[in-house]
Amino acid sequence: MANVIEVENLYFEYKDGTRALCGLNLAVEEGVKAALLGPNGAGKSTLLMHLNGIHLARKGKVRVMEQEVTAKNEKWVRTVVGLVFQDPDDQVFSSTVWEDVAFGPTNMGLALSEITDRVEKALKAVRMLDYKDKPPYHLSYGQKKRVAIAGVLAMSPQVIVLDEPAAYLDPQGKMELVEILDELNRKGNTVIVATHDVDLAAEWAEQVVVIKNGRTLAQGGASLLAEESVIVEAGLCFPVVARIFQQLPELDLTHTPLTVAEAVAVIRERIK
Amino acid sequence: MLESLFYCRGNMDSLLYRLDPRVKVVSLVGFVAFTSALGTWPALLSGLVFLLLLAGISRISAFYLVKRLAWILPFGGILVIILPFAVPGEPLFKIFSLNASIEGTGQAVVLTMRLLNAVAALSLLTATTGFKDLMMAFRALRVPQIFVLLIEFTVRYISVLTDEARRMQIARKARGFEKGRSLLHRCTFQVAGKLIGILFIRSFERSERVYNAMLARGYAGGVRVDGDPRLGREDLCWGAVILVFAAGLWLIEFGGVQWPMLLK
Ligand SMILES: Nc1ncnc2c1ncn2[C@@H]1O[C@H](COP(=O)(O)OP(=O)(O)OP(=O)(O)O)[C@@H](O)[C@H]1O
Ligand SMILES: [Mg+2]
Repeated sequence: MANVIEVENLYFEYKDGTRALCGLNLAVEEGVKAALLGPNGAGKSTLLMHLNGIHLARKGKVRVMEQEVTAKNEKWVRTVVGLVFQDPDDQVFSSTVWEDVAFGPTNMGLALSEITDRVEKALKAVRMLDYKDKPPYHLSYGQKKRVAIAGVLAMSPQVIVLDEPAAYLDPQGKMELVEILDELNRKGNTVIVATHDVDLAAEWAEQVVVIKNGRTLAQGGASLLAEESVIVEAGLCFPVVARIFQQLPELDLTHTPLTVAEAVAVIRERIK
Repeated sequence: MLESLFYCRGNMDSLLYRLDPRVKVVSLVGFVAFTSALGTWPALLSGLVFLLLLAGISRISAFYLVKRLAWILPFGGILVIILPFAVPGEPLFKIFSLNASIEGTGQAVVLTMRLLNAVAALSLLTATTGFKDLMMAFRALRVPQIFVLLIEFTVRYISVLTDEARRMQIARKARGFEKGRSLLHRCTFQVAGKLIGILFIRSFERSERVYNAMLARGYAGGVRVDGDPRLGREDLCWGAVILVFAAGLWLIEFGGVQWPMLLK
């Protein structure tokens, strides 16, 4: 399948001279669930800003649906790629929750009835419809995060990119988030999630990209998360499931299970 | 911050809340323009009574209105105190050796009432119109884009600034900073100085991130959404009532009709 997002040899330097990206490469196939992993300061957020044209590549290339992102098509890019920011306080600013979620659809120039419809659906999806008339700054952090996610869902972009979406969500909220993302994915959307949460990545992602110091360390399937060299180098840790099976060399497995489902399958087979 | 400036309170189903924002802007701003040109107290009083009636029908809480009108005190108050003594004329009463003139007192009354009229009318507007609707009305009325953007960002960034200040205050408190001590206390003073500097840097950086986040959701200087391009008959009627009332007061006064005669 074609790549929806391609990043080639991307460099980025902040105004104060911090080199956030140093020759990063990345390709995400259409319709996959991809996880972007890396330690603090690896450049994940900086990279994501490039994917919807907030930062433009000065050196290197970013392509979205095979078109290079430039100042000319950045508006189009923002309708194709939706970005949920890491800090909801940056994203959520309107005086009511409803208005905030309507901000994106309004910018898209949709009809009022369509906007109402989308906002309601998005708020329902994140279970925040009851709070629609509240000012966002009176919400808890996790609630704000949900509103931020709804704000992008309401734009129904083809590619949805989330920066640390699960942080601050309660366990139930995390599971609901995963369901929302899976649902989007089933409808054919590409979903990219930046996270430190290796368990989430192991359970959920089909494609994994590991970055560090602004460079790509490794790229591949979820099995990457069981590879010692990658995990250690990236300052991550193994998923819990993998850690358990690593303590059991006597099982003599050909590959380490990563998800709960895989683990259950392996155990069930052994106890038969 | 936002909520105290533009937050709909009261009965959402009542008259002014339902009125089309465009009509509200035109009629209430028009009302302010006409009443500011009035020069006699009975005319101004009629305007004020009319506004109170509007507020009453719209079920805006009296407490809210009084709180809003209290804003006038620091600005108008001083003038009102000084005017009677500063304007020469027939003496009305005397404090120490200062003569308060009838003319001056009259001017002070008229000035206060003009202020009351203007602030009350604009309070009705902002109390019954959400911020977004207000901006949309400005756009629909072809107010130059740059003014609308200026208002939008000012309001948005005021809350960025106050939010940031609040976060910093909490963070400071959590680590045992006492603000109760005198500002002259060396340590308090130093901390306060640094904080103000950092507050501005932090607010600046956050405003940049907020702007980025707006861009990410397709912001391109605001769009004119023609939700209801056509105005309802009821909207137009009420707008006309408000405007005609103010214009009428002005015409009566301008036409030199003697109030005492009308009142007889
Ligand atoms: N506005 C900025 N100005 C200067 N340097 C910045 C700015 N934002 C980020 N950086 C620097 O760029 C580098 C990459 O930051 P980035 O936010 O992309 O990391 P990240 O992978 O998202 O980290 P985290 O997991 O903590 O969110 C870091 O070294 C950071 O200090
Ligand atoms: Mg980040």
